[in-house]
Amino acid sequence: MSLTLGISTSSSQFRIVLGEKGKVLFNSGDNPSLNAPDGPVELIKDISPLLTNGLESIGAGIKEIKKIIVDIGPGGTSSVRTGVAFANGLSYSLAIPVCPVSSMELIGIECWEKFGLPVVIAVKSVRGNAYVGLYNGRMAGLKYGLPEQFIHEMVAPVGEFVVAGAFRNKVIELFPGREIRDSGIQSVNARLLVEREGLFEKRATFYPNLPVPLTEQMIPAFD
Amino acid sequence: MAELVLGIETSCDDTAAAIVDPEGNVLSSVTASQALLHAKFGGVFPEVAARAHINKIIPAVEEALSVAKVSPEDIRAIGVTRGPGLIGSLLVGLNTATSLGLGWGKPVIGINHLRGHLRSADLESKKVKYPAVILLVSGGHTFLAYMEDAVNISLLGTTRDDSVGEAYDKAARMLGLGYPGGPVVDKAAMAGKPSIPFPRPLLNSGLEFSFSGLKSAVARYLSATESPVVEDVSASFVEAVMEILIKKCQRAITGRPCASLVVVGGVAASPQLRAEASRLCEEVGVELCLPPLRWSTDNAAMIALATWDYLNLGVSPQPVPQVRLPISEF
Repeated sequence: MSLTLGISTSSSQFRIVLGEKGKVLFNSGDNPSLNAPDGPVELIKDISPLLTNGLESIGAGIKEIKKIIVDIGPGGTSSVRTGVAFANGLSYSLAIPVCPVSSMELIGIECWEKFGLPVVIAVKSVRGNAYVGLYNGRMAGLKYGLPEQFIHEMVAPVGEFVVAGAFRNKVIELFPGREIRDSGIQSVNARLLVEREGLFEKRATFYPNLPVPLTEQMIPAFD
Repeated sequence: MAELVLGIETSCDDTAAAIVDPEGNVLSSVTASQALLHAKFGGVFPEVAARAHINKIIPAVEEALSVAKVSPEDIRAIGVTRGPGLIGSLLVGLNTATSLGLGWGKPVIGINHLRGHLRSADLESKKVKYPAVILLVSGGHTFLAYMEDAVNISLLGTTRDDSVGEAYDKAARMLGLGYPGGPVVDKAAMAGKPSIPFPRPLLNSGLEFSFSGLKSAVARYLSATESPVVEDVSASFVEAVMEILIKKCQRAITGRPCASLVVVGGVAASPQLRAEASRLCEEVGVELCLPPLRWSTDNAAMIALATWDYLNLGVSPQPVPQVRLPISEF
């Protein structure tokens, strides 16, 4: 097998997806015992049981993983960091490429495909700040700060849009009297890491250029 | 035959990797210090530390392998600090080690950081004579332990509040001397007179420590004094710290069979502590074991040496984080 490993890090529970040529063969999110909200604490801190379980369930070995696609956030700071550290170590030890993709983009892709409209994705941060992204077939903008200070300028070039992300109600609040479509999507669908891998392959990188978690300090580079 | 251990240490603000053989010979030891990143905070800022570990850990492992001129096939096991430490920092080291182990097909063992420190004096040559009393003094820890041998360890007394390294850092910040506090306060102390009678908390009772009262006394003195002489305050602070540490060591040594006193941890680099410990050991007739300065602070070689102990005993704790981990546990 020539497997792609997807690691979703930005939600409260890690998700591991294994697939081949865009087809998902294993998704840890489909296994309730691995992903129960009250599941073993170790699963939050340690991705390896999810991966070994996944490999066993499809009868594959670790060396059959040929590519990693990792969600670099934003999301829970510890979980994103943990997931990226794991992805980087595996990329280095197996000498395989790792492709970084932001959680904003993953949410944007899902909404764009579902609604065919530009997507405003909002993820809550600290002290009223948020990560806010605009997706219209590609990431067209990403800012960090108090959304009320930049949201109107960000969406000015687009007409109708749909909102997504766990902080989407804040975006709706900021447009009183305007009908905003709510996607109902608040977090990453980990399957997309494998099903849309072709979108991310050009970002493939190796040591010493390994991915780092997306933080507010990095936003200008993405804007 | 794979006969080397890769050690990885990320419990606080140093990202370290090392290759060590079963005899404690260090083939390589790489430490990427974050001291400059934390200097502006006057202490370790956990979020900054965890972010920096992500950037530095794979390059540290790569360099450790390269300097030792070995490949992953030469590695028998990976030992990685599982605690105690900062959760964000531990998670980066543990998950990197786990994925390296998966990729290379090597076992990964979670190591008690404190047991690493206690073994640091035996790196490169076996110096410690057992039974031994160990004083661990660093930014994160201050305690006395008793080692019947390299692996049977019991705690004698620990700090009730601040570690001695923390007290140094806070004193340095109050005196405007910078970070890390140990070297700068010790240096200033050498040019001053210990003329201020700072308190010596818990000096005459048991083997526990307390440094918060001493730190507060320095703060009170500085706020009440118009033009304090930094060197004299430093000298008085250091004299109080030394008297506490040495008196406790003396009490620990004389209360039980003891062949050597081992002083480890970042504060073991203090010239004043080294001199006072030497004087004490001459006085009570035990051997003093001090690791070279490079093994006093956090490093991965000590974690790798402790990993050999675990392998020899057949103990293999899971590589999952334990923010609090007593010395009695593996």
